[in-house]
Amino acid sequence: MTQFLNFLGHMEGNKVFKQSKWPKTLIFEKSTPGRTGYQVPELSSEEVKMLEKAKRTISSDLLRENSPNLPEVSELEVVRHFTRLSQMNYGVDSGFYPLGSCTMKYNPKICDTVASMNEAQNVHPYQPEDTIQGSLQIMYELAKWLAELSGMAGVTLQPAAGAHGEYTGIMILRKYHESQNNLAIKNEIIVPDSAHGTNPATVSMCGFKTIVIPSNNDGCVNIDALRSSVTNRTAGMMLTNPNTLGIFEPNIKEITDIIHGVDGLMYYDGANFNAIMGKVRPGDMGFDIVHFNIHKTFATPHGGGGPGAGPVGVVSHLIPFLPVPSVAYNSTSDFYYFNYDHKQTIGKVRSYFGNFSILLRAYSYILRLGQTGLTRVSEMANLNANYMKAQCARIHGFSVPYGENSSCMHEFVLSAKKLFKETEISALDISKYLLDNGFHPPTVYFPLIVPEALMIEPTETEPKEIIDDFIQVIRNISKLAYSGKKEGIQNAPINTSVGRIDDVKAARDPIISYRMLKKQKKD
Amino acid sequence: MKRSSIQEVIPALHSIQHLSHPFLPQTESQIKTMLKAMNVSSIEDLYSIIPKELRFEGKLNLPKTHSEQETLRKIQSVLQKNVTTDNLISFLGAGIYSHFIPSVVPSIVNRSEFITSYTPYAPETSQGMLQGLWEYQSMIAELTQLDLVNSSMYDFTTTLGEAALMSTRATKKKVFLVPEYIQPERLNTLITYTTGPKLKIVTYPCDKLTGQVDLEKLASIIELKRNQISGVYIENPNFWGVIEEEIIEVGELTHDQNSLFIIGFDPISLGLLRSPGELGADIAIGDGQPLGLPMNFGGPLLGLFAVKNDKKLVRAMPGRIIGLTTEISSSNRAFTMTLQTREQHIRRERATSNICTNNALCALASTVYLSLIGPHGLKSLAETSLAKAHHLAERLSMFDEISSPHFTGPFFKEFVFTLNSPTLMDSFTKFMRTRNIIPGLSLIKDFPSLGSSYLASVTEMTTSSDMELFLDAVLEFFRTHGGK
Repeated sequence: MTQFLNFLGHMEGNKVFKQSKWPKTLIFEKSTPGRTGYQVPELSSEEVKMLEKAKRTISSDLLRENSPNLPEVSELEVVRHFTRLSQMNYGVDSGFYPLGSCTMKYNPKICDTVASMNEAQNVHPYQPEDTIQGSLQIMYELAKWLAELSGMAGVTLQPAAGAHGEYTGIMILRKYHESQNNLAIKNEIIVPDSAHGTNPATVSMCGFKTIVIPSNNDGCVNIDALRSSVTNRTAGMMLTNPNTLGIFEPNIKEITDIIHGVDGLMYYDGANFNAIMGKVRPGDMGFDIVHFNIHKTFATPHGGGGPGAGPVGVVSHLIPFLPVPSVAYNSTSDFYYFNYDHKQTIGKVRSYFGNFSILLRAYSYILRLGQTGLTRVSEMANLNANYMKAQCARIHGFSVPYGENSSCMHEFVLSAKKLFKETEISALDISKYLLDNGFHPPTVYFPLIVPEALMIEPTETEPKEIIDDFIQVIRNISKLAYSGKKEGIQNAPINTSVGRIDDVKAARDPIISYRMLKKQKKD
Repeated sequence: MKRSSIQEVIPALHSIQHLSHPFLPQTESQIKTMLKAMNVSSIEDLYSIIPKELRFEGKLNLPKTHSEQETLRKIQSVLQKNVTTDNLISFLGAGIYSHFIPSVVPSIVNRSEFITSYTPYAPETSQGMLQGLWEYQSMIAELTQLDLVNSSMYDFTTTLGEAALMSTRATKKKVFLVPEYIQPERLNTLITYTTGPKLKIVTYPCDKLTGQVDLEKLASIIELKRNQISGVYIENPNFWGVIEEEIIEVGELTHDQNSLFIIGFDPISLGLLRSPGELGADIAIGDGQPLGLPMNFGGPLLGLFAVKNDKKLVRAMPGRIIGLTTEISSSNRAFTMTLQTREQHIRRERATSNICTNNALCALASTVYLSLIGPHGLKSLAETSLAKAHHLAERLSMFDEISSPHFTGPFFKEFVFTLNSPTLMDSFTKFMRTRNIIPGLSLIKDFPSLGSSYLASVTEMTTSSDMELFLDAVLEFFRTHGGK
């Protein structure tokens, strides 16, 4: 019955979903001089005297003349302002979020609960080792588990995000070639044309040149193109497997052999690791360096853009290159400690030891699923994706240009090329209409090799009923577009807190702070 | 949901292994239906594309599935091995500070519409986070008096790396000057970040007495490297907690070379000290952790990145930027990610940085924090830290066995103090540990020339009784360890 009502809702002009539309008043515009939302404990009379004395040690031209123009608002005003903002935002807890390559699965609340414990939060990273045995044990065990899942020998937990993991991994690759006295020659890294933008950007930051190779008709690495691109200059290759089309590279062993044949290293981009846990391991495929996107596979909340964590695993001969320190364990004394003994370390990639509160969430997530549960996670992610692919590929105007007749992994890329050509309804229009129906849209226009791309990743945590509702909206779009009733789609979204946004104006005349807004108003 | 009779419930308890996991909703019958709909006979068939010889056939060496209750118990038992700062008298700072976090901050930040959202790629349905991040940019702009702020980076350290890379993009020059007296891991990360693009890091010293930049030596280094310098970096207050009194002169020397002047700052200090913008900075960087983020054993943190309003500089900036614009169909305000042609998903190998996931939720936390404290709260927090730090430094100076503060330059909330005996440091640290006191960060390993020194940090969290207990312990230590 519920399903039927939902269905009716979708058919009858989007009555199901409506987002709050609060006025976009800035917190600065709510400021009233004299108000505050905070009280600092009063100083003792001794400290007040000391304050005057201390201030006199600083010459007046180094003291701030005017207080910063922060808003002056009461505690309730702050709470209400940000509560209203939250009502104009959409998360996994709000609804289906099939944003391809982002693995927007349910973020278990238990993970937030443990991360908010005092014993996790109120610990300074420079405390003596005997006072941080709990944190060190969590890190030691998590690193071991990630090594097991990926088939790697050692793992660093330090990188702050996926791209930072890529950076760490490619710096390890660089240091390896330097140790072989090969760095002068080995200055190229191969990246497929379907790769995430972070791959080539990382290659540049690490001082290498990106060599892009085209995909073949199946969306996989074109082996001939790879062979002709590989030379003694090849330092390595970055690959996502399954790739951004959701397709597993069947020739992966041949690919890693080709790269290893010129003493290159294979880098595994873990963005799509959710598809393969317990089924196949990067280490067994021939990869040398792996990063994990903790905020994807291991369900830590993405927080509107971060923080995440991007641990990096390596094969045994690369362990000496890991950033320092790692966490080690002395079983005789039952003591966890920092190990700075990585002889050829790339050095430091950040301050302290990693995004501990994110890593702790991943630790609790792995405990919740355990040995068999994580494999089930991957199976269900793939089942949901394949089911959606099979349904969506049949809808008039849509196709799956790569891998239509074979199984995908955890995601697939739907193309609206035909629909766009025949009805002028684009992937962008579809994404906006989905918003009106209470769904977050898929990733659109990526990967670049698919025209009018909609990259769909349902994840394992969505029930079939929701997936079916989503598919039904895609069907409705097709029906509406081909029957000429396009206005609802082209004018979408209307149920979100704002309609379509003027991006051109935003970029042409950037206003990125209140200071700039005030100056513009004066002009 | 259908109501079950007791008879139905009891067999269900016996066959509990057949229930799905709470995070995995598909029932056995739904799985069958789905497989049938796509003409596949089993889930295993979905993996048939993976060559058999690569398949992992063993059992993962991982813990068994834990219920929520078991997970909580296990993690509690592990974390209880930590000693928290609630149970210590800690004077540790050095980049991460213990500040009070008002209850409003976690209450807002943990709202699930915020915390479970992705990067706002669909702006129409993500206005809340976008406006929050725009307000974050605005508040950091007000603090620094610099117009352009990105919507967060990982931490201070990586932000310094990004600032160095930006200076070389903007100036096409390849030598970057930094104080030799910055936090060692900050320097080491900078060295890592500048390896690929082959920037040369040159360090300059401080005056041994004042703990401030040795301006003459810096000037001669600048002269030696003239026309090659992409940027000059300085911190205010610096790693010793000392306020750099000749910082404006450093900026002038830098700008004479057409190089970028980069200032590292502590956001709390800006309630009291002149802003980086007013001191002539082209780029200001820092860590937002003191603005409402727990210490969390060192992460996540919040890299602050602010830039002078200059058309050339904005195009060279790393990181995501949120812009204010309007709806297409009306003049209603709307927020969106903007200037994206600098970023990796568009510009790929020519991007200004590879950063994608940043620390947005930490930025939101600092926005809520700054909204609560307002201009007067910030000033009051800065003054409280200043007064308490000076109080402690003065009381320590009354011991003949201690030099406090070590440096003569004015200081903010951190200062260096030194045990005059070169051999007592280990026993001092150990003695304090027995009293649950951490007297600060030991500098002996990284800065041996300072002798038996500690870097002590004092904030509004340091109570008078904490200080008295510390001072009593110091007195007792010297009484029992051969002092006067």
